[in-house]
Amino acid sequence: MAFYSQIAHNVLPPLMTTSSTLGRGAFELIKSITASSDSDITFADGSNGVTFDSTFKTYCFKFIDIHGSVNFRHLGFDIQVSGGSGFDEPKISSGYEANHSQTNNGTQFQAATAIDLIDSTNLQAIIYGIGNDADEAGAGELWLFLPSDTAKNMHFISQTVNHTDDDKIRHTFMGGYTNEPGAIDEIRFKMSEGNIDSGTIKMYGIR
Amino acid sequence: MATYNAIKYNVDYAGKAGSLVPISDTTISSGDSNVILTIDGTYDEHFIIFNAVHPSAANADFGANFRSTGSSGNFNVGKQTGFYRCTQEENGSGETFAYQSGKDVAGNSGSDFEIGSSLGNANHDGISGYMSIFNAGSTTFEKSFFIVADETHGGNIQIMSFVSGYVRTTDALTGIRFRMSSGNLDSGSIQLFGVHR
Repeated sequence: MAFYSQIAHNVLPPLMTTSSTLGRGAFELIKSITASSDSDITFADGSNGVTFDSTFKTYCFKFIDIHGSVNFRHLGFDIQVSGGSGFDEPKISSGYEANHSQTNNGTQFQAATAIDLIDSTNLQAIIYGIGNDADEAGAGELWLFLPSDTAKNMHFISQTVNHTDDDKIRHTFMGGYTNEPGAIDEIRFKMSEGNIDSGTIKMYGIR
Repeated sequence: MATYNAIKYNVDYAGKAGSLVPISDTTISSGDSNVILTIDGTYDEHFIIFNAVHPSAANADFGANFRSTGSSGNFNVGKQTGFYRCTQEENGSGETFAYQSGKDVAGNSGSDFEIGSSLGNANHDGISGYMSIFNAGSTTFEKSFFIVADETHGGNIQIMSFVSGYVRTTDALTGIRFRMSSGNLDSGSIQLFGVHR
């Protein structure tokens, strides 16, 4: 059987032919929030047009030009299970960082021990040591895998880059999981101190 | 005979449907010995997501292998990989960041290459991550790939692994197989996407 798109445009339609996936980009923008001297940016299921449930298997957040009000502070996240409060779910994590100074007089390639967590409810920093000069910021992405699963640990992986307070490029990878049972349906981003002065956080879902 | 889906959803999106195209979504059932994904030259890049893949056996390694037009249907094409990782003990007894010389494959190995090591098989354990395979259909170059994965190790250790490599053939790749070094894949899902040219 010839498809319309084959006849009209000589292209085959996508192989996945279900109503929920065909014709979509697999990377679906759920919500984009631009900061304006905000103490935090929160994405909660059912609030402010956010879907954060089993509709999507995987979620990805993109951080664009995150600028904090206080020098040498870190953008991080806390998570919360459905029905929980206080964003106090414990996390365990590890990662590494690669740094290079603007003056070309030093590099580091090492474990990111300053921001890893050991079964801790603290903020999980993912962009470490952002400078707060007017042109300094950080960017990157965070993946959450199957947060709706109530039995398994929810794994996360982030990759970020930033201009540090002491004028270095810092590339950071962090990975980890939460041991808390229950479906995760809220995530809150904030600086380790002060406000998110500006920047955008975009939430995407993959079904 | 035209199907309902073909009639209703066979529409032209004029390239506005996005560049990450869902190809398949495999939900793993208890007893599945492997997951095989078909790849080819349709896309410049294949992107794969592992979601909470859980082994039936304790301390099994999660790995993969490739099939090509020249491998007679076998998943044993030669590979060269590098492997490094970060680890964190759940009990706070230590962390590491190092290359793992025992977990890479060298030369032209036809064996499965490792992605996750000694996974726990408690209910909450598993491995999640993503993988990119570039230009699988090339008949000129070897094929490059990289993986980032986070796992719960059987010894209650959080591990983030970085695996990269190239498949040492100029035959086009036709598939990739994921499996455990022992036992079955028990649950989770593996999704395959194509990145539009």
